[in-house]
Amino acid sequence: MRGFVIRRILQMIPVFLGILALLFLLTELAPGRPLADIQDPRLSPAHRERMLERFGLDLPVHQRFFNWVVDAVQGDFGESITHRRPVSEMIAGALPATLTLSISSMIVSLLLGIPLGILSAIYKGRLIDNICSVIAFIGISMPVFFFGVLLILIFSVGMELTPISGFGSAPPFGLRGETLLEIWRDRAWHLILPVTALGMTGAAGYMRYTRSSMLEVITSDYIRTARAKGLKERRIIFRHAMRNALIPIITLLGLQLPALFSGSAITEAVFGLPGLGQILLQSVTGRNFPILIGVMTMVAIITLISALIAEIMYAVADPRIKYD
Amino acid sequence: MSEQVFKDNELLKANKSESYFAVVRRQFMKNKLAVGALIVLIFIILLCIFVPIFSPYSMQIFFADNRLIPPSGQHWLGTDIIGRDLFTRLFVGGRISLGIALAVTAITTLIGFTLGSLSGFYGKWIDTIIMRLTEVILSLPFIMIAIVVVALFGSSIQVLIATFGALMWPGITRIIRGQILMLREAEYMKACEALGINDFSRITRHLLPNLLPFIIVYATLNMASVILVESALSFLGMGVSPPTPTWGNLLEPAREMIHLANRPWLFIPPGVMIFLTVMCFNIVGDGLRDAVDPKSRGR
Amino acid sequence: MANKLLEMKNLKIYFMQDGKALKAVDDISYHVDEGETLGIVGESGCGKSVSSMAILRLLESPPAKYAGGEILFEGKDLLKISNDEMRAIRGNEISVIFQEPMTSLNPIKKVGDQIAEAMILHQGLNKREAKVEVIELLNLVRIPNAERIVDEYPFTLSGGMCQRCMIALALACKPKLLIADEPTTALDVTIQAQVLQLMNELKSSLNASIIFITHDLGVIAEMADRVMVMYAGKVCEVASVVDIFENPKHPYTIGLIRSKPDMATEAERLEVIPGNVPDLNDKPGGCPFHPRCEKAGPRCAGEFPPEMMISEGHRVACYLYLEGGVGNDE
Repeated sequence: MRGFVIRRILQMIPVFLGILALLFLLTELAPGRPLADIQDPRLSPAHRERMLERFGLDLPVHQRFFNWVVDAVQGDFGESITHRRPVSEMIAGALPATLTLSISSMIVSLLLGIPLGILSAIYKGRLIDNICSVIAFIGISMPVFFFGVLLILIFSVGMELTPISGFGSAPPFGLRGETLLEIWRDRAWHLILPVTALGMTGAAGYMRYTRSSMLEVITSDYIRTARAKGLKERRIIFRHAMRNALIPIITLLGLQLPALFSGSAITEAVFGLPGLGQILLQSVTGRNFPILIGVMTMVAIITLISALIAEIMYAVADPRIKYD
Repeated sequence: MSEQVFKDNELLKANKSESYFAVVRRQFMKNKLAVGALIVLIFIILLCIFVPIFSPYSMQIFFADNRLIPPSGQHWLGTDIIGRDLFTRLFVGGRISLGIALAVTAITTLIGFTLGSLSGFYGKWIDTIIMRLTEVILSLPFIMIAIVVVALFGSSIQVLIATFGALMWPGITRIIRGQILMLREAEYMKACEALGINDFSRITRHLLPNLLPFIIVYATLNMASVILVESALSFLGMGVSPPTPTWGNLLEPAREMIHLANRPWLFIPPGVMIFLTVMCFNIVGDGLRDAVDPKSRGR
Repeated sequence: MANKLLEMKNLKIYFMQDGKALKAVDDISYHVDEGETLGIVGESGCGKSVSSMAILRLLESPPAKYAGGEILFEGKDLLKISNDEMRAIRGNEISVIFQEPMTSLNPIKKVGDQIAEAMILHQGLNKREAKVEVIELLNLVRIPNAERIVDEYPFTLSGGMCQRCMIALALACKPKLLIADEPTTALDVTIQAQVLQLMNELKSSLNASIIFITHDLGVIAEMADRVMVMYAGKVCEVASVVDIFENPKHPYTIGLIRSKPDMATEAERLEVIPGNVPDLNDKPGGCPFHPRCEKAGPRCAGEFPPEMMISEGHRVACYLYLEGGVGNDE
């Protein structure tokens, strides 16, 4: 088991370096240099030189890449050019909103997608299956931002049930000595619509995957054997078919994470949540490279680690996978 | 088991008496949902082509005193903030959105076929490099990296097409690679090798026809994904920039509370168009997959 | 005379496809006596597996449709009893050994647990008691290190070992009828011989009836007491194993025996039956074998011939042995 984990980590390193190189290459190829837009008359050429030096922008390309990778690996993504705040600090500030949104949405997706997928497979070709298939098509085709907008229109504007935006109520709230529980309850209230939007559109994919995985399993030889043993249909589905069908979904979870972050970035924009997607969008206008790259690196690290965790879980769940 | 035997028999028999294309068409026509979606799709495409031609309004000309008119007999879908006719803009936007999707699909398919064939056919280090590259791209959240690229290179239709093309090829590459790995083992490919037919013509003459069904299915489903990501990006203000309309940036007013709460005609129609078009592409693509690949039928 | 354990009367099983019915099993009747082994031979797709899976109602329906007939097991019609009653019989009184041992066991469950499951269900044992029994069973089917193998997963075992486990699973509740559906086809020849030998030994000690399905006449000669030959969903000939090999009547049986390498010693060269097994989509009318039969006449294309008793226990369905022959004018 340990050998397996170590080998997988070693295999991840080139991928990670590839991501870093790609990001770095992008900023190098981009037209327009940072600071070039600052047309401050007080900024003398010498001052400009000093600033470039301060951000290490005067070094040759490969050296800057090397320095940057070394720093990035230590969790230091440099300083935000416009805010003068460490990028890592800004990312840390944005992570709670993004992670809360992503993880809750994923849970909603799984809780909806898997049972419906199983139901659909068991009743293949019947009414339930047809209804589920139509729902799945709607889910994979509905743009999350449009769905979010519709939800706001109906529940916030129309019925005035839920807050329209934000990751919690405005500042006086939270500073008056509210307990952590109260703060999170307030957040949960704000997150209902975003999580619904992202979770429900995400459920469709899991539903389709579960259905096809389940169909493959229930037509397999060993399920026929289980029937020939005289087992009850319910036991066959829950004890024999479901576990086999759901194991591949573990890998899917790891692979779906980048898509989840994408969806989260869009959802954040619709609902005004201060997450990674939002600081990404804000830093875009200022050509704030350290933030752009820092956010992307962070997301890549989370993705790779989750993929690794998913693979380990897969290996634990499926005895056929040999570790070493 | 026994059921499978009969299915295979049927297929074999079908192959004998009619062409593969005819079998696929017959299977596709059996799927009423897919046929319906195809009809809707054709209708949407025709609207996108002809509405801008026959519309009495230019999509650029605006009338200061016609701002924000709700849908009426004169302006079927109302007018926008600066008084442009939204019905016309909706279908001009459709042209751009569909055009981008088509261009991106063409690019990704070409890259995917080339890299996938190289990877599957030659294996070894070529395969390793290409596969690692797909992993790199697949571990980055698409929308985020697209935002970064557009931020760095500016938002124009060309940049958008290039960005999507550069980021969306891993999917088809992996499919092609997998198929080639499978086909390579087939007897007739070994026969080709034994006959000394060169690699290029083995790939283009013998593998391509076998891969074509998968490529068509992939391309159809890819159209759906491109429309989705393009509109998402444009919605975020990082896609095609106004005044050029796309379905995505037509939706942008929804990000402002005043429009969202009071002027649904500004953003509901483009949203519905995106949803409908994407759904039709998905249903048609699914139907095609079932038709070309009997194993996937009903899955 | 022995009692009939299972009797199939005029069974018809159709597969519904695009509104058409493919007659996979077309009006067949046979019986299995207590303690005997009935061999069913035929080429693939002749309905031999379908008819025996029908006994346990294991065919997926749709597309399979039970279009008529009765399957009497100890006097009860298995096609009429409730699902619960059927489940109480499956794996308990009637059990099956499938063709593909590697895929017929659940890949992510321990072998021992899979065998124990049937015992816990039908005999009300607890887990610990069941495990003891399982080890005993594994010893019975000659699995070495049975104590260790109970906790192994199927993928760690060879095909032969998996098939022994399948046999153990089938024998777990001491069934009255064992259906062996090509149990050795997927195995290597040497392993095949070992498994057959094992089954032969178990057969005499267990006193269960067996339906042994195969396309291999050599295996039939070794295993069966009586033989039934099937072709395209129809029964061609039923006889004792001795009669089938020494006095075959139906042209199809004769063809099968002649095309078997080590059976064809008397013939100058190995013969083949011309043509192919018919597609169920356009099955020839009358006797389905007539397009390939060298003795066929005009009558063979009309109606399927009624069964004719050649001698005690030897029945054949062919116009050659009926009054009027195949209808040639000579």
